[in-house]
Amino acid sequence: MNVLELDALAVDLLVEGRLSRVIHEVTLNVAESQAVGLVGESGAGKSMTSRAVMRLLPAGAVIHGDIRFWGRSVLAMDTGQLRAFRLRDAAMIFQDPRAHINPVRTIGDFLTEALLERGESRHRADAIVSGLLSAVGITDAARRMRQYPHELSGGLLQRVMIAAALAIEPKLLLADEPTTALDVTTQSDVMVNLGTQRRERRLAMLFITHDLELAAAVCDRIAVMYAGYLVEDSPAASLHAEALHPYTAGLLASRPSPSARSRRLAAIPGRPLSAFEAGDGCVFASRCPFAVDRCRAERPMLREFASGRVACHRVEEIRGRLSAVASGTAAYE
Amino acid sequence: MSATAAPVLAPPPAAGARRGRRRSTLLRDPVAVAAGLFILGLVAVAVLAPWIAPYSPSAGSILSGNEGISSAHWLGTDSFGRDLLSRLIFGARLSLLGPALIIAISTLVGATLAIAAAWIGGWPDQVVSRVADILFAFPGLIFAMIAVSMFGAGLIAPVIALSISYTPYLMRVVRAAAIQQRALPYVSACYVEGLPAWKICLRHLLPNVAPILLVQATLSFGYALVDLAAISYLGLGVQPPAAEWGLMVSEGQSSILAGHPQESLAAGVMIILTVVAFNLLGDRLASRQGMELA
Repeated sequence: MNVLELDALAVDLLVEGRLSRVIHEVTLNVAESQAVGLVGESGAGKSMTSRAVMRLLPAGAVIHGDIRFWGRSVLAMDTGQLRAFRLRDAAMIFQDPRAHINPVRTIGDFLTEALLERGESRHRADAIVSGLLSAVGITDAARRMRQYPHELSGGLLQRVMIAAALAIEPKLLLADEPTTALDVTTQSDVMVNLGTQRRERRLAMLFITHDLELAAAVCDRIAVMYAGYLVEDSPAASLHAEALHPYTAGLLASRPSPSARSRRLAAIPGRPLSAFEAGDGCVFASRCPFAVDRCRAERPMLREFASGRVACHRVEEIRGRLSAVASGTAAYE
Repeated sequence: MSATAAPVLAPPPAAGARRGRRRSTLLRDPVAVAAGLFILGLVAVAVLAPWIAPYSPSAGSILSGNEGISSAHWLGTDSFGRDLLSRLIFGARLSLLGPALIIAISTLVGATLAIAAAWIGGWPDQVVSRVADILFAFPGLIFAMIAVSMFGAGLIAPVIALSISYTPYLMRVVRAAAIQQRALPYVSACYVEGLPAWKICLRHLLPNVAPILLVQATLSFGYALVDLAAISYLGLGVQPPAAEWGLMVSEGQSSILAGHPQESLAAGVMIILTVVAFNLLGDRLASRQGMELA
């Protein structure tokens, strides 16, 4: 059974007094102990998708479709059930730990708060938390718990945030760019740690990032979003070998490669579309080198193809050419 | 923020960020230390009055009235022959108790309303803010006089009236700070943790607005003390023979013309020193917070 099911999820946000759709019909499942990467550019709707799961959307937002946790609709929960869901079932790791931890309370207060809220004794909560701190690679747990957030580095603070997320023993972890605010060496430490903890606890994870490489390294499956649409959903292993959507191929082509020294960094031409700018056709048509008239007139549906799912009319025809694009041997334009 | 004497917020104080440093710089600030020690000393004197006052505040013979400074009566006596120093010492009790009650009530009510209004937003916030606007339009003294005319003179009526008129000042400042805090990401992180709203307010918002609350309460204490003294001076507050500074200024008035200014002078100086101490302390606390007093 799937831990998380997004069923034709669509989100409308209030933009200048009007409802604008920022997420379109996203259907995605995360199975037990599976990690799914949600990849896309800024504004593609990745974070909004994860916030929708937690029902943490700005005032006036309207959610269509359904979000299910172990088959239970998150959208139908009342306040008390929602609180229990957040307190026990799902945890979120935010991008910027310094902003998401109350500056005037100690690390220990922050970590034990949810446990105390669940009725654990102070003594037991402290024991659980100091165990977790060493699990995420923080030595000297007792001292750290007495410190304030400003006394810790960004990397340490992000580990604290991960420990806080694990403390409630959730079934589902939503990681919203957990390493983006960290420098590269710290980033890999934190990711390795998060990966280990996740596998040990058989957690389902929705990992949000704009870094396709990173997602491919830590996730079982990758879902690619563009302008509020899910354009591809493939096993992480096959994504590298064969991207199904021209956008994914473009993303793969635009990563810097140490082997191709003199080559100019490839970029996808044009600018990313906002979710509510899309016309009738495929959202990627204006930047896609393979676009034909049909792409501009008719929106492709997400459909099963090969080992994954893709939203592209021409995937059968261009299949061979895409891998050349992705590996950088063929020009993108 | 149009309120008189309302601290204007500079960038949101990252409260804990300089916790350790802030405490030590405040202790290294001679003005803040002096003001703080003066206030602490005053509180000690008020509490210990029966043990340190040389005479009873109400005992005296009219035959020894309006005496000058002597070794028996360090500050002389009033027109009823009561020892002025003892009356000043006992007067500290009522003179500090009144403002303390006012600040306690208006801080409790103001902060509660402010955080609730900031949290809930929408029309409840509008209602609370507009009621505060209306209260701003009433001078506290007039309000207190109305209360006295309805409920009689004494300590209680003016204290309740001034508590009501000081609440909007506390409320406005705390509400502005709470609205800022509310929008910060750590609050949504609390949501995601599954904390109920009242716990987020009490454990997270309140500690983050507490420094601002402290500044406003300290400053208001001085103003409340002056207001209460004025009410006593007008004869609407505590009644003779009680010892209270505002009352002493008023009682000593008739002796001034007779060439014995010591009673009004001594009580007036105590009022001024106390208010200045609270203002200076509030001001220094505010500058620790990066606040500027408008």
